[in-house]
Amino acid sequence: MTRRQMSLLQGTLDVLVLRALAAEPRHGYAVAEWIRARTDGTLDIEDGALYTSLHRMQKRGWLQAEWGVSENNRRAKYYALTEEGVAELSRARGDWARYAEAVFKVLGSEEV
Amino acid sequence: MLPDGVRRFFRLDGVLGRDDDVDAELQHHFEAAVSAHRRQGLSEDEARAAVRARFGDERAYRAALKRIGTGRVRMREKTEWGEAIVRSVVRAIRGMRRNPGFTFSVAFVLALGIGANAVMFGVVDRLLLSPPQHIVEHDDVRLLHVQREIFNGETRTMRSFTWPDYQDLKSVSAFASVGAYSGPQEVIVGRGEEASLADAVQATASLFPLLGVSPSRGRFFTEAEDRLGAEPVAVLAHEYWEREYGQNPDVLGQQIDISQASYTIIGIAPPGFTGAELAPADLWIPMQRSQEIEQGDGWVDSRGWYWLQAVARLGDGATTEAAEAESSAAHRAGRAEMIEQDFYDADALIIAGPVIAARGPNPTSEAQVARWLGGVSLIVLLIACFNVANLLLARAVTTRREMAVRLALGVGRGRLVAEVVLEAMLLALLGAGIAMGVARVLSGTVHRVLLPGVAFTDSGLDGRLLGFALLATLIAGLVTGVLPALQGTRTDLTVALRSGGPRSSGGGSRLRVALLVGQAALSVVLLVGAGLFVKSLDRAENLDLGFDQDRVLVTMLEWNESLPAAERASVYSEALDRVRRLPGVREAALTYTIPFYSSISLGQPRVPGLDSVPRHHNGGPYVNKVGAGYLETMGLSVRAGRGIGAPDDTEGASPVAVVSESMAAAYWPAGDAIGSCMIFDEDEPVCTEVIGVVENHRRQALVEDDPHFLYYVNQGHPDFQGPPQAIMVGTDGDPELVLEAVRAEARDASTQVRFVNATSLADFVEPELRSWTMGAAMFTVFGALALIVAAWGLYSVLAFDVALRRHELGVRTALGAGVGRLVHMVIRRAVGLVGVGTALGLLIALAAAPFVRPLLFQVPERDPMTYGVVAALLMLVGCAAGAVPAMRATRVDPREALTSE
Repeated sequence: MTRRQMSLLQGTLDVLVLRALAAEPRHGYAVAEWIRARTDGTLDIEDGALYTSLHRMQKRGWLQAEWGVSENNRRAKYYALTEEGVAELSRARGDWARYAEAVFKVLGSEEV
Repeated sequence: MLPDGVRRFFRLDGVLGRDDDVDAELQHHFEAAVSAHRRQGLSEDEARAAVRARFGDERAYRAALKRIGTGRVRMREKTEWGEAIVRSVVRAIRGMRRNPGFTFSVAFVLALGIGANAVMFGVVDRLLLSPPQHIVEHDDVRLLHVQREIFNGETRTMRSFTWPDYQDLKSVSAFASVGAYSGPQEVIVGRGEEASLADAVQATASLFPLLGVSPSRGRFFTEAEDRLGAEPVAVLAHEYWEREYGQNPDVLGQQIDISQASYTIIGIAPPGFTGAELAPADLWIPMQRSQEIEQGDGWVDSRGWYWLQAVARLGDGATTEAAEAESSAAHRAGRAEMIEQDFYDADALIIAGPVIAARGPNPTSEAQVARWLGGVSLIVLLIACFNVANLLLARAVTTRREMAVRLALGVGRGRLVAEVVLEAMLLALLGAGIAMGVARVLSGTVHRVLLPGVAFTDSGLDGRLLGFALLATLIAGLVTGVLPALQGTRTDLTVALRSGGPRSSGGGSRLRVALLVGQAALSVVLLVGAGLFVKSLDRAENLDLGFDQDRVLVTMLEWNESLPAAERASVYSEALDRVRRLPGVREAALTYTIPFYSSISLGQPRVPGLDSVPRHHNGGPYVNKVGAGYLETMGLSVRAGRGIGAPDDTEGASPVAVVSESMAAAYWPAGDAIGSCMIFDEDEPVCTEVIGVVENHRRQALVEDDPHFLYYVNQGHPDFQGPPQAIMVGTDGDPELVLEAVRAEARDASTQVRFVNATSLADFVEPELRSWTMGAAMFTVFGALALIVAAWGLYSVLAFDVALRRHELGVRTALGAGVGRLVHMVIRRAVGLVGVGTALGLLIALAAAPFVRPLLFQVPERDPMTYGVVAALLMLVGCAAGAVPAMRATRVDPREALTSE
């Protein structure tokens, strides 16, 4: 997959990422693992796209980020939902069915 | 994946910046992910490969992250209009910044098109669209023409009137007012060393209120000041006041020496005021008084002295037809006596034409050429638009998947089309910005060089021009954007998404080929035009006028006050002697008339033995009184007998004449001209002996359907009195080289010489060449621009094709296709495209040729040579444009090309 497909995943991915952070703050790799585990690999998302989603939503004010130390004692950037992020997640859940259908059509024809 | 060539060509990668935050975050990701994979039993290398594969295009993502980091945020998908537009603009600008090379080349091509149009619009606007400046309600202002049959039966429309004609027109009730003017004409201002030349217009006092102009300082002259014997007053043009007086406000009331008299300055005209014409003027002087000072009062009653132009303002409710009918009647009534004697056309008509002279019955050839060039500049714009549309189309191929995906996500097609068009608009706007800067610089040059006789506003950037440029930009944006937008969004989703890339170019390529062929065809049309005009100019410049205009300096003396004629003649003789001694001067002689400037006809001579003398339908015969050596100075060859020599100059010398070949053939068809006798003055019949026959020369136009009759008499001839008007100085080389020396010698001939006016004879002919000079210059520039743009377009498309076909080319190379075969493949495509375009262009040019015919000079409008050269040139350019991509094709490394999948 290339950068060209980011727009394909953008709306979808944002919602998944928001959901991943609903329970607790996580760093990027943890978000990726969380989504992968929850989707059983049916949505094989490029990790790079995930990071653009995180950064974008941080800019929008849905997420806040701070540097912390990971479980392996490494410096890692942790993301958490802001109030707007929480509101966005609940709004996005409502829109999701329609949205996912469109995404599914596309992904269905894509040999990712 | 995009092939590297494409990527490089359009710089899809953008610039990788430095952002420690992003780097640190991703480093953490890779470490965590790799160690997770290691824990599942993969080797270090395997783990890295897996992580990388899962991450996607790392470089691209990094770049994207850094862009987000620099603060431009993608806003939420909303369909509100305002937000959508802002979003689209941001998106477009981001796209433009991402590919500066692409953006620049597109903007540059559009700048050429828009700039060419801006320059030409300035010219067309001045000549054809706008009235002269400062005219109020210009629709009611009419330039008056007279249409009448002249003695050879031809009907002509002319603008010159006599003073009594003007008086007749003043009585017409349909006109609220009538004015007249003459000039601009060169006059001497100041005295002695300080003397300089200026352009003066003689005007009636009624002209200013008629046009509705107000002075910027002081006042215009009154009816009382525009009378015979009145105290002379003058109004300065604003530009002249700036140039010569540094805008000194104290100038009002000062005296200024104009030609033969001293005038009191009473006002300053507003900036840019040129009366009812377009020619720049320096001074405005009262018509009757100034004419009286310069010419006496013979003109007051003369219906043969055509020296003024008339302008009128229609009265309230008066129709053009009524005004023309009434003024025609008044004109004929004034000339009733002449009409009765059959000296004047009884059906002469007055035509009240528009104040924009180029739209009237007598447009100048420059105006007609300008009309064409306006159209031609539009073709340049069209070519530029085709070119840019082509580039955008080519790029659209690479963004098809993005388009498809966005369509799939429910972004409306209209929105996508709007975005592409918007981007094209922005590019056009950028181009327009560049264009206006360039046009500003170029306009000045174009105006000065090609239209020196027209006053343009200095700024070159007025509201109309900006408005036009904006319109051109809008059109350019639409034309360039709409095609690629429609093409790009017509994508079949499943095909676009599955096909995996830009290799399948589909229907878009046919459109691109069509655009390319269109560019080549239009270039051919322009270049054919350029070729025809250049050839016309060449023919006109190399026309044998009879005399040698490039090696003759016309030297005219201007006098202090009114010197007696006899004294003027002796100063001319003194000046002639001095000039003759100068190095670089091969010969010099006195003359009374100057070709393309003045001519005198004194009626028919009587030739004993001839019952009636033949008449020439263009009037004449024209006479010139010349000094010894005149024919040699002018480079006119004596065909029989001898020329006029030194002994003929002396007082009391026997009267002799040299006749032109045309006159000799008409008067003495048997060839017995030499030794014949002509009698001019029946009261004291003296026989003037014909001593020679000289070659014909043109009198006042390059295109004279027939050589006129002309004869030269010697200086000592008793029937022709009056001082000479100029010294013709024959030079060894360029007259400019000896110009200053000649002026100095002539000035030193007497203290009575106020000013010496020395001009190459070629300069007298030059205005006749102007329309072809202008056509040749502008067609050539536009044609070259078009060719460059078309060649660039061809190159881009071929280069892009080669890049897209790397895979195929790699396979071919791997299968053993030789270098020659690959080059041949690419070049054949180039030549094929250009060939079709050229053929089409030649057909269009052939079809359009008859329309341009009246503007050409002695060149057939379907000149095979011109068409052939243009076709060959296009082919050559086609090969050149194909060469680089062809070389690139041969350098495709099959391994790299095949593995880049």
